[in-house]
Amino acid sequence: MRIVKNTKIDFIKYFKSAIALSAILILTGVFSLISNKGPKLSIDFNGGTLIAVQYNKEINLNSIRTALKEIEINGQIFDFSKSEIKNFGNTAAVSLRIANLEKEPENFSESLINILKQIYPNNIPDNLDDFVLSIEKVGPKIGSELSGKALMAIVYAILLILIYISIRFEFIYAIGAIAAIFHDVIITLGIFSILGYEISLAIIAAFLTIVGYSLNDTIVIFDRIRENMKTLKRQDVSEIVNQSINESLSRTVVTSLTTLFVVLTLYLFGGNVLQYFSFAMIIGVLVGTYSSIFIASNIVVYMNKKS
Amino acid sequence: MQNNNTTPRYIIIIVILSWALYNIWPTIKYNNLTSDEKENLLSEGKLEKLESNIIRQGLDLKGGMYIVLEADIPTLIKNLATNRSDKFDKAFETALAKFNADQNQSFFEIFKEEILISKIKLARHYHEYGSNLEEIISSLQNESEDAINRVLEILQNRVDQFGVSEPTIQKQGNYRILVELAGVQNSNRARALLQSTALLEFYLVKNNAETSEILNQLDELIKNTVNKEELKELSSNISTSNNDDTSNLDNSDNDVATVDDIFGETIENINDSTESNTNLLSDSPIQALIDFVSGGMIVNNKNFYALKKLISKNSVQEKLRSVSGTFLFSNESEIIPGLGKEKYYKLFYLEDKPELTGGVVEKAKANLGSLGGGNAGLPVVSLDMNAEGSKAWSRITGSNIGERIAIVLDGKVHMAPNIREKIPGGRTQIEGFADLNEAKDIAIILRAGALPAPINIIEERTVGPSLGADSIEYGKKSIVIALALVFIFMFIYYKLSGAIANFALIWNILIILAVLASLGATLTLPGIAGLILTVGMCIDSNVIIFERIREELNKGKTPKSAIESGYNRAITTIIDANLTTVIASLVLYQFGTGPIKGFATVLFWGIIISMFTAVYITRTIFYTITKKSINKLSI
Repeated sequence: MRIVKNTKIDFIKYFKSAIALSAILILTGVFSLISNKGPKLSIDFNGGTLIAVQYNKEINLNSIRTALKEIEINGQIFDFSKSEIKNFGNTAAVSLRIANLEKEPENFSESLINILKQIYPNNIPDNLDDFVLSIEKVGPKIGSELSGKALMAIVYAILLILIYISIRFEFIYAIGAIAAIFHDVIITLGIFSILGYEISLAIIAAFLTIVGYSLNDTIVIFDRIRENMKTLKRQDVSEIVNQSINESLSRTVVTSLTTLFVVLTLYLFGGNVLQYFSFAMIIGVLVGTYSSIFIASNIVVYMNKKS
Repeated sequence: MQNNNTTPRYIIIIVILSWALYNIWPTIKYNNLTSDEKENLLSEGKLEKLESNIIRQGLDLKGGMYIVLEADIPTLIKNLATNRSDKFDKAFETALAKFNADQNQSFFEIFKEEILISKIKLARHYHEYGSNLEEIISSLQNESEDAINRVLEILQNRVDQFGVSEPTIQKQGNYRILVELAGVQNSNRARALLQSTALLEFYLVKNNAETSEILNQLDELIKNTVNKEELKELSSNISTSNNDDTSNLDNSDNDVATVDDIFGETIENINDSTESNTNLLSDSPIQALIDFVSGGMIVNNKNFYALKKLISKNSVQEKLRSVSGTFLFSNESEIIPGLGKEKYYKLFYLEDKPELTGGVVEKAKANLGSLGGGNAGLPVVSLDMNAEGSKAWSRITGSNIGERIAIVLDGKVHMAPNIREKIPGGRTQIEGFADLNEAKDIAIILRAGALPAPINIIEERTVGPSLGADSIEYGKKSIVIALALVFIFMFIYYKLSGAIANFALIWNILIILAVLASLGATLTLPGIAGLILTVGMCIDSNVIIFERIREELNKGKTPKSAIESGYNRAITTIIDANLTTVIASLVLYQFGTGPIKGFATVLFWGIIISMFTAVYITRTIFYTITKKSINKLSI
């Protein structure tokens, strides 16, 4: 069985429209990022408290919001009605996210859980252990440290990859690959921003995996280009690139499909915790496949012609 | 490379596959054990050995608590200083503020700078630590490192006695300690156990006349120094029960006394209207927040924060220092009989120097108070002091008969009994616990000793058991479905060759699990995600190879030579593509914390192993197939 067989698509012809499409996608994402004042960071980076609890029947989020309008913990009055309150996986589960407070009462998260219990005292699971799904508390210090570390991770990864490709191929290939990576990450970041999804530590891991995947794709095509450059010396660079893309197209499609099966499965069946991670991966696989053909190879053609 | 003898290849493969099975076996066995069988193994002492060889589940899968604690080095340094002057305090505060603003700098560097700027002779405050600045700073640094190591030991001790299976306690960086407690749900209790400094102190309680005097003086002071706006803000949520209680007093026959009864002084009559709160506060800000009962001073839960804030004001603290007194609250708020459903803290006015500290505790044991005593049936902690402590305790109790002594743990008063007689044996009991568990925990921390430096929780993640169980369920389900989809696709698309790739894929997963088991690594949810992702990567290698073989076949090559050149050409592509992902996973491992590290570990090993399974194993199988020359390859 074959999905793609001996294609002779003229990819070079579409390069200009591809640039335009990418530009639109990137600009939309960047516009959203700017208007949202940067990506929406999870408590991993911003610090704060995140509590998720499970009631035994569907819960009206607004009633929780109202109940949190004025609560008292140890003589301090708080208004958490403007905090982020949303469903956690199912409609009977609720998560509450509160930013770090300047003067946090002792045992703050337990007090909050008690308050959440009292809002629907009759809808608590029989086994109290089942009520609390998770408590996460990240101090401001840890948050800023983690952002620093994540940034470093991305910078180092890109630097090392740049060096590796420059050694194995040529510098212009490294430029093409890195451009494709940025393209993929910015578009995924933009989509997260438009949808209002949070960037957590797990999403950073997803981004780095996207980087790895996109590179994988790019390098397979580059390998073909390098090989064909040796055998077809007389031909025009854009023809060689076009032929290389066509030759590896079957592999690109099959691999993208199998990987998509996997990440789609994760998205659909992986549960609430992996949902955003796998969503990032789905976007990454699609954009990564596209960028290795239309961005990375495109840049190699352009830079080759220039020199 | 055309090698017709495949025996060496099979030997290598069989050795590796057997090793994998051998390493996975304990995990499979463990997961199939019934709880009865586990009991049996436990009694035979074999369970622990089996458990040490299995793939452990992360906290996100089995539920539990992950806590990062950080030693409060600035406070430690401040506590070590003697003869602190205002100038020193000021320099210290500035250094602390700078440190809090920029956590990346070492506190010692900032502190040193500030000391230099304010021209303080450090030897005056740290004469035990050296004679010049450099010397003192470096020995303070050593002292801090030493302190964190002792903290680590003490925490280990506490957690061991707490009774959690396989706790993880390890140092992270210079001043941090990471604690993982599997299966712990009561985070309150665990947190108290870890964070409690366990500083036990005995303070004399100041008498009523002194208390009354200081309250009046402080009210006067606050009236003059704190502006009305601020008082108004503080009063916005204070309890009005104060007034109600006083009016109830006349009708009901409870043991609530007025301030007159206790201190023999009169404060202005309390107006009953709620608007008077502000007036009340501006007249006698502190006393308005306190209720006076025959047992002493109590503070409504709702006034707790406001009162604490007033007391912590600099002017108030200064005043308290000048009369060497200090205010402390009881450890927990409670319902006072006769005062309705509201909860109250007890407030104590104490001498500011402790008579005795907890270093003298030799034994601590929690039990229920014996019959006949005043605390019959209540949880208590019985202490035995060492010789030095016994001597001091007997002297203190002997010379203060009739006075009250407050037993203070971590700055909170547990009880303040009257000293009835001299206590010679160095024995005493502490009361004031919510339940026996709390008493037990306190006994544990008293036995383990006080922490040399205060520690703060800077990160905490608790996963409930049901969420963990869900995650395992979802993880298993996704793996099975993803594998099934990939298997079916590969078989349809590449026929027999696809089946060979599938076979290699199964081994890829098994070997990864075996490596995890032998490394003693923990499988977390991100780890499962990494495993699933590896499935994609592993299949990709085979896709690259098969597409090449198809190309070669199209060129008219025989199956045998098509396979040969297909593998040879694909291998460079596969290595290039995989190495970049290995780079990414190494960087992730280096910079990542807990969950990300788990993901990176699995990804790293998954790719390395996929080179063996997807390339080496499949190639060997193809060699065997093409040994007899065949005309057609099922691909």
